[in-house]
Amino acid sequence: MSAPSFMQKTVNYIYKHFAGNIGKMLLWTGALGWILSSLAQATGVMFNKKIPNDQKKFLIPQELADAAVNILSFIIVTKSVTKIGENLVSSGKLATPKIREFLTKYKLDPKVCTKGFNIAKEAQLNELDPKFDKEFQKAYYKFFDGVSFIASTVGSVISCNIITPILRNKFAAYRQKQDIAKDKIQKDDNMSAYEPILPAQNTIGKDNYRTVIAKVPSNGSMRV
Amino acid sequence: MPWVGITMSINLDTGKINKSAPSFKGGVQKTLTVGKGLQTAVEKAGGLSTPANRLFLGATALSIQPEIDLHNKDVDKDTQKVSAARTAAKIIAGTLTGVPIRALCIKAIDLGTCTDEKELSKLSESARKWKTMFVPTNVPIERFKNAERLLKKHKQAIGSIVALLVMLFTNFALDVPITKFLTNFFVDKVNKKEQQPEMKGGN
Repeated sequence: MSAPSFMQKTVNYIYKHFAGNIGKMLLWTGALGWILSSLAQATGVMFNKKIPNDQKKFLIPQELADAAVNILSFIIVTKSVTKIGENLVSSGKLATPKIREFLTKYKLDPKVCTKGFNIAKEAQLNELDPKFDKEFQKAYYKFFDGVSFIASTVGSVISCNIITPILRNKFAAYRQKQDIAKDKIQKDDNMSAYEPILPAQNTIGKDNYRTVIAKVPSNGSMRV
Repeated sequence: MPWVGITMSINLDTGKINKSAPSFKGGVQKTLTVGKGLQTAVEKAGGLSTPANRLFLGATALSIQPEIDLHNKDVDKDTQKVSAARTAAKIIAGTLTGVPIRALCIKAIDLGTCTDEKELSKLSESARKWKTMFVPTNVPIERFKNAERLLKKHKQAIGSIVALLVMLFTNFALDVPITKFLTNFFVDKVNKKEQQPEMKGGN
């Protein structure tokens, strides 16, 4: 039997480490995806000749902040909302009639709002059925996956479509103002470098000014 | 009409309400049992494919994000317009490429994760290799016979990595050029629209 190929080793590794913990995998690949996408888009803005430089100063930081805020808000908001939805089902607080029937049949109802209660674990640990009830397992996970999907979608909409745009705009506007102010200071410095510096002896003092003016003949109030 | 029933903690044998159950603590019912209609809707949502999910997220993003950019008080009006145009362009480009890529990845993974031994036995050696290229060999293939969910999770894990690798290419080759084209198109449209009332008002 030949040794497994690199591809097969990779598939085996993914199964061993991530099939049981898909959330971790989705987080890593999602984060990498956002970073790559932002870098690509920032590059696109940089080379878009139709966008003025002042606007690029906003759009490029906006793009980079987009990835950072997306990752953070995914971890803080999306994952939390998804976890809440999943806990509601696994703890038995939210259930279908079939799940409720199962809980009552196996006298698990009193445990429903207790800390650490998990329907899937209880059913397997207690071996409530000699062969684990596959029909119940199917019914349970169908509902569980549905609630998990809805919760993660709601979390994604809140984090990616509301929180991220607001925060990345704030950051990008701040960076744009800083860059414009920096450019202005540099421009002013460059301009002042070309102003002629008058030597001190060419200026006349206040007292000398009066003496000089007194000697200038007056033309009266007529002006052309 | 879908209904949401609220159950009490009822002892089925005696028919009495179990007031000592934690779910009935303080007289407040803490559990909820969904009705048939809502259950069907939730289960259908869970069965939605990843491309359909991507399409839904793209549609919601398109309806919300450009509006936020257009009302960004921290920048001038021109930057607001360009930013909103770019955001809309990026979402459209991302959805146009993301949905078919996900669909293709899922198809490829489905083709490469056959665990049906009857079907595999009818194939040649090379065809069998292709059909099982994403099936892990560190567990016996029979393991997946009654564990559809485990296989589904494994497919999701493989799918997310394959999609990431494909994105490495499509981000630069497709997303960026499409975004640039659409951004310039939207900005030109908006500028033309703004110039037209001025031209109409001339002598």
